[in-house]
Amino acid sequence: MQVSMARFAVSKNRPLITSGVGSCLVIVLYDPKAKIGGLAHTMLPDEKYEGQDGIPKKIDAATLIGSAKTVGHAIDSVLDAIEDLGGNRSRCIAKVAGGAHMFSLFDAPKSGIGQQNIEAVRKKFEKIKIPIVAEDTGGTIGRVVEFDVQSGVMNVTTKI
Amino acid sequence: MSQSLLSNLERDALKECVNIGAGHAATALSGLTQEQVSILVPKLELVAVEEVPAVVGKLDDIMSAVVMKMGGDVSGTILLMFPTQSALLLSSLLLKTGQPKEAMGEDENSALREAGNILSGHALNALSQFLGFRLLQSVPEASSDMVGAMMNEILVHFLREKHENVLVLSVNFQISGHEITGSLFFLFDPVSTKVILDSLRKKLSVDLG
Repeated sequence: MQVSMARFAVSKNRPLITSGVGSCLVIVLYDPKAKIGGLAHTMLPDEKYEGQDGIPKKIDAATLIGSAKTVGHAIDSVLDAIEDLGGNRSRCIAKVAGGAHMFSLFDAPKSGIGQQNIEAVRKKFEKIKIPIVAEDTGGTIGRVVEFDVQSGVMNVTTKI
Repeated sequence: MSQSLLSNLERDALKECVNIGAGHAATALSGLTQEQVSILVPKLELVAVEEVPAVVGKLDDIMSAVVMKMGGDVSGTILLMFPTQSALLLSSLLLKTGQPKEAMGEDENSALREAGNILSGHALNALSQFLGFRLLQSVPEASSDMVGAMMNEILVHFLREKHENVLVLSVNFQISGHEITGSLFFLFDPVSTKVILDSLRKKLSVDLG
């Protein structure tokens, strides 16, 4: 099942696929005992944006429903959905891929949005005590990520 | 797509503007390559940030892109996109190397960046005059990868804005003798989109008296 940018999906059997992963961070959460997993294609490290008057604001929680735009919110949504399907978040493990840096025009590699996403995900998982057991992040190339719920394997490929 | 946000008059005006800009760009490309360049129908889209990648191309397609930031009175991003085969053919034309290479190397990317600079500079001049806004472009960067992946970084910055819609002006062009096709996109960030549309509306209503 295809997961688009800024969206997430959970599954008990169908594999979850997303592509065009550049600076975005793909987060996979998996309950290996129940064999229920979710994949989120996130874009932003946090909910901040600049209001019209230049004053920083937060993205309205209501507009985030159903979306995986931000790392923190996406993780919470996926975990809730896994439990709705009968899984248990205390058993979950995480795998992440993405956070590449392609254009210096927009960001420097060490502080760019890709790197910010990676740091945000590490902080969040440390806080909720879920281990990141596999990671393919950074670099300058776009990725395609496929997650097989039956085996728990996350397959990351590049097309270049 | 937000049909109701743009009247037919506004759409036509913007398309005409792109036409003129593209015409200038085609002349410039013609001069660079010493070949005939034809422009196809200009396009205009007003879509939410997340929908922009699909407007630019098929998300999984590998394309060679030249990217420039647009700034001045309004801001956004300029994209010149080629299927990689066209990028290889075009760069070999520009570098006068006879046979195109198998993959984009430093020289090829350099030639592409330069072409992007020139093409977009000409088109931007026309846009600037029509819109009545000062428009400048940054140095270009080149990359070849999946369309969706390249669009991530470009769009993330648009996401950090209050408004939602992005104005996309684009035109396809062709160097027929050599089967080179490409597209030029002007993406205005949400705040700039609102500024441009408001200004356009005022201008058109003044003209209509």
